[in-house]
Amino acid sequence: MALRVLIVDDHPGFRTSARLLLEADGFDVVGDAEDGLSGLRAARELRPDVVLLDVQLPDMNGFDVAARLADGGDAPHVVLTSSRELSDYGPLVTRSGARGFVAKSELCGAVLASLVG
Amino acid sequence: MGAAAGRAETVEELIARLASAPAAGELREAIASALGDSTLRIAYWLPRQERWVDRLGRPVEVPAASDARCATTRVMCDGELVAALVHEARIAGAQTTLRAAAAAGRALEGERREAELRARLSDAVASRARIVEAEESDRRRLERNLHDGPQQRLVSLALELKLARGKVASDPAGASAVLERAERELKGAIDDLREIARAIHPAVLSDRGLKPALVALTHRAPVQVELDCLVEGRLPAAVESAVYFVVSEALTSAVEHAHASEVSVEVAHRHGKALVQVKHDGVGGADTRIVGLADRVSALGGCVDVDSHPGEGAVVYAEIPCE
Repeated sequence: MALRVLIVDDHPGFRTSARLLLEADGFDVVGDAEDGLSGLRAARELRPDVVLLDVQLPDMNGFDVAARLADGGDAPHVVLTSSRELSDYGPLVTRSGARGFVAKSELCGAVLASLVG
Repeated sequence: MGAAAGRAETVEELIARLASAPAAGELREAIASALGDSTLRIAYWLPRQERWVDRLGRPVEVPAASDARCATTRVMCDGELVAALVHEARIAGAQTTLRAAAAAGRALEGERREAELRARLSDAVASRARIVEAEESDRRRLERNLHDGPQQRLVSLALELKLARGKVASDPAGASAVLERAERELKGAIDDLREIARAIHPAVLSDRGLKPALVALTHRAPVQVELDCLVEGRLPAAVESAVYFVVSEALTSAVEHAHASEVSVEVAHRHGKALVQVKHDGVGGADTRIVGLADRVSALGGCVDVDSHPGEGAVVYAEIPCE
């Protein structure tokens, strides 16, 4: 059964490309959101298996969103993403409780599956 | 009568003390004591900046007219306004006050010059701090523009190329559609980078000089701009950059802040100075962008002046020495 993914990112171009790419790689993209608060709401309503979460959102940062997602019961796997590199964020990614990090340009189904598998 | 005579004597003492060149700071005490007003303070006039400062060059307020508690007596030296004595209202216009003010004119002119130097130094320090802050803010904006613009487009491009590769064999028509989108992203990224590079430093300015750069700048403006550039040949690079920056910022201010519909730009090179005038018909009023302009121009020994009244447009003048 395909993993259900929610994409949270403020750049519409990335949301579209990521959706098409992940769907082509066999994921079921159940929704997307453009900021942290609507991402949290969508996660509650859609109950995805994976949240692909941008680090830099307009209303809050991805680390805080990841921490709030981890608080709920039956929390989804969170994979942080950014056009910056993992090394730009130091230990923040591991401390956030996220399952991993993927640079946006490196995103593909196989990388996402390996992080949440 | 006795009290008036006592004060008159102290004015005589004041005159005697002025002759012996009192040390810095003693002048206020001497005048306060001569006038029997311990609240007396002295404000020094900076004519070029049209403002009052204290002995240390810090801005101070001087009451425009006497009120119930305090009044001002202006102090002149060689026909020029030098300072103001701010004192209790009860001694306003008194003979002793006027005599003390007249006697202290020369000495206060000396203190005024010192205050002016201190004010200039303090203005220079503040200006330098604003320049550093503006540079920092420019770097942050550049990083954000690169991140939000071309970087996002290139990320999308990378994902779309990946998607197209997956479709080439199984769905050539789908791959072609994705490649078309990728091409649009790439063109968008090139446009974004061109805009960002031009904002850092316009290549046409360094390659071809001020006039072609200003023609291109005003041509791109979203409002009608009349340009009259009387500069032939090249000026020092720093001056050309500063003139371009003045016109560019004043244009942006006219459009974004003042909502102008017509702007005229005049640039000339006369008597060893680059002269800039940007006039618009917008709403006028203060814009912090112009403070940044003044800092950058003053770092080259020049000056910026703004003549603006709310609702009546504005004119920005800049003068930059070319040597």
